[in-house]
Amino acid sequence: MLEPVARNKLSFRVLGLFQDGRGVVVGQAAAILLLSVERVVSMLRLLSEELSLDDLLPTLRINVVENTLRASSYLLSVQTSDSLLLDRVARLTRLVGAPLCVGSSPHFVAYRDERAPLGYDAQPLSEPGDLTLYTPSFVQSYRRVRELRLTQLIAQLQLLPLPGGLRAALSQPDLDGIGQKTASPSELYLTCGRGLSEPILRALWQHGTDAELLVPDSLPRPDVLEGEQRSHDPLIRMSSPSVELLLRLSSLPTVRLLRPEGVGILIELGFAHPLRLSSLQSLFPSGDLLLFYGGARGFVRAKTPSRIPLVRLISPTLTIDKQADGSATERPVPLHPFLLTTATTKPLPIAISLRLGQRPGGSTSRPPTATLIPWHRLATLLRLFGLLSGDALWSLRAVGLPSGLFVFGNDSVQHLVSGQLLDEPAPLLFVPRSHQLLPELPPEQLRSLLSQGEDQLIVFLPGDAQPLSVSRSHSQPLSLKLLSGLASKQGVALMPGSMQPVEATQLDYEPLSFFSTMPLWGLSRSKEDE
Amino acid sequence: MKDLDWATTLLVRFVLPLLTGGQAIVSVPLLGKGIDRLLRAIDAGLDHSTQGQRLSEARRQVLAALGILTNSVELASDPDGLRIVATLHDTLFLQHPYGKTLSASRRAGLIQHIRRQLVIASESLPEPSPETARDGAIYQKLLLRYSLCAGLWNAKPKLGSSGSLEADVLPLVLDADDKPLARYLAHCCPLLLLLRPPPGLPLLIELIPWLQLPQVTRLFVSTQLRHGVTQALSRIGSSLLLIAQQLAEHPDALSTNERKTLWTVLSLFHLRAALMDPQPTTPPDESLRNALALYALIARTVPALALPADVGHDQRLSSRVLHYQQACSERAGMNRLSQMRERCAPLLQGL
Repeated sequence: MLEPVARNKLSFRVLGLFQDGRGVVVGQAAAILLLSVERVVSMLRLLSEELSLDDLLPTLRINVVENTLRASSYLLSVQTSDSLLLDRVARLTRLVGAPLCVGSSPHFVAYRDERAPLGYDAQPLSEPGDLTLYTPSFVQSYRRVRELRLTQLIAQLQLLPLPGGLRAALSQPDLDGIGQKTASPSELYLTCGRGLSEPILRALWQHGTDAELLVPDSLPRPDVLEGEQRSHDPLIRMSSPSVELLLRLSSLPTVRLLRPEGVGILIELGFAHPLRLSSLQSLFPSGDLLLFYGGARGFVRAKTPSRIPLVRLISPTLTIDKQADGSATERPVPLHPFLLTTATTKPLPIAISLRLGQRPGGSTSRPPTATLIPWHRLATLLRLFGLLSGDALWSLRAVGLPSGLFVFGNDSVQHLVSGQLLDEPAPLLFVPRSHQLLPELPPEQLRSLLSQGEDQLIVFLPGDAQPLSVSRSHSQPLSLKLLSGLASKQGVALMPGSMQPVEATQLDYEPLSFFSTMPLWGLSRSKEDE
Repeated sequence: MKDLDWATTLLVRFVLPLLTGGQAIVSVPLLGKGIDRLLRAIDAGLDHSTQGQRLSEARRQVLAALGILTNSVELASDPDGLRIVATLHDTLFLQHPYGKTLSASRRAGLIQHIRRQLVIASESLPEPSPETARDGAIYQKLLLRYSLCAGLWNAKPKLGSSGSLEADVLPLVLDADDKPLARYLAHCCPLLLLLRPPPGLPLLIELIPWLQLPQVTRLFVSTQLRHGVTQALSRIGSSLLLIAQQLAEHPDALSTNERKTLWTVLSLFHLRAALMDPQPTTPPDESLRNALALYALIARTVPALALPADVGHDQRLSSRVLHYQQACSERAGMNRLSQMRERCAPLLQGL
């Protein structure tokens, strides 16, 4: 019934067929007959890998058809007359064992192959039904049963687990047996059960990870199907999180990590979607997030989520460890007002409790860089002033605080032994040497938490609940002139160049007995070294 | 008695009181055998005994008073430090009532022993030079020796006895060239002399090579200034004039580099004074006038030594120092300047 076509054939028996510029027989449309839905998925997967499905999507149709024996098949059709495109599609159809036909409804004739380099013409059936396929192996008419929408198909698909799962997805593969350095992903999303998001956000902030909270719109929208699964729980978007942190977070129950694939499509880490979703972008409305989880069919839609930077959610408070003498207060003290610039219904501010506590192992290995010298010890400082080298003198600065003279700059302050030493966990932020700020945060986080300006000193004094804040411009270079001026104001009695009095040693000559001088009896001058 | 017990007794009776104050008992000289017993006691763990720990703590305090915080102050690190202290004990015996009655030959024998021990101690120190300055361990060794002997400046003869340490002990002549004890001590424990408190002069000709070590110089200048700026300037000026006098007799005693070092150290004192107060107070005494004149002299003769390049590059600092130099010159007067030029000619030669 089929016959190969020669070049420059003037007329075809099947209506709708014609030869393009290369002489290849094409029609207005192409149809692929697939015997099962798995083959449909395989075909779509191959098409999405080979071509951009976004170009074909406007005319792509999937119909469930039945033959005369009522055996159902799937007919995937697309409007195209481009033989170059059809050549590529034909290669893919051979991979899945499906015939590719061209023509126009209701007649579709097999596309060209080895036996007919330019294609085929056929003798059409007198009762073609809804459509008829003419191939070298069969001629069959079909009845259209229903149309299967691509979104419906995607809603039924399940993610495929990747070998190695999440851990393999986070770590780089070995190349030639050599382990590659693990690079942190540039962008990842995280979902978790209710109640966990607050501690996770706090942990992310403490590790200095740039993150934002995405709160989905909970109001219904007319263009979204009612039966579709929708997410109302907030998501967390992380930028370049560390792999160690991700592995730790993923060990928590209900925590799932998702990677973006295209715009608005998130796929759980360690899984892959059967289709390449990034080539199906036009199927999904922009602004929404589609979450594909492993082990579940279809996707969950998070509608137009509003984004809130993590920093805006942090509400710091300061607590001081209760001392043994009970002198310090335990009352949390707000450090600065919480500011939220955009209106949102969710979530509540996250409380970060910054605690000034005793350091368990004593002082750190880092040298102290500041000291607080009580006013009554100013005279001692003046005496020790001459010990400082020239370099130290030029780099040290001093500012007067109610409890004493605060000297800072570098580790030369260790030579000013009359004061209380302070550590500098972040630039211009000082805590007593035996204390530390908990939780331990990176310097940038500490500074942002305390709203510390570039030129601002913040000093935590032992026993005081509220840190002191002083502008650096109030400090002056540490000099003898400054100290002398301060000493005169403080009424400190100064003795220029005075040294610490040391108890004198009295030399006592012990009375010697006759026999005790025995060692001296043989003493005389020898000539050997003269 | 075991060596360790014997050494512990010496620590309690003499070494510890010398450092911490109290009554230091001078008894029969230890001589060579006694020093050998002490060295054996160090090997036997003198540092770990109770008295050894007390001594370490006292030495730490001596260094802390200089602003140096260190933990390793054990006798085992430098056994020759204890040799020097034992020799000091034997030297002080010469002021003992019995020591004064020693026959001439025994006295000569004791002095020979003292000299020999100090020479042994000085030989365990390397020659001071810019090369050795790069080795931090040398500075540490100098500090260790100083921490053991520093109490010498604090010791006074028993009430009622005549004489003083400065007048009787340090000038004790130890050899045929009339070289006194102080100059031998300068060889084996340079910091002891460099950090010498007033009224003695802190600088001897033997000590100048050690000032090529920047750490030593910094410690020297800072510590002497703690006794008062005016006093420090006077003493360094007088020391320099004394060295110039010695140099006139022995012109080859100092190399050109060492002479430059000496002038640089003098300038350092004046620079520190200039930064504290750019206008020197009117000098009431002769020695301070001389000191100001010496600085004015070096500023005119070799300005690079009086105003280091890094200070000169800083406009604010250099103007302050130049103002100070001008004031020194005015206070000293032209007559004194020419007089100083004449006296210090050996020191200025070849610069």
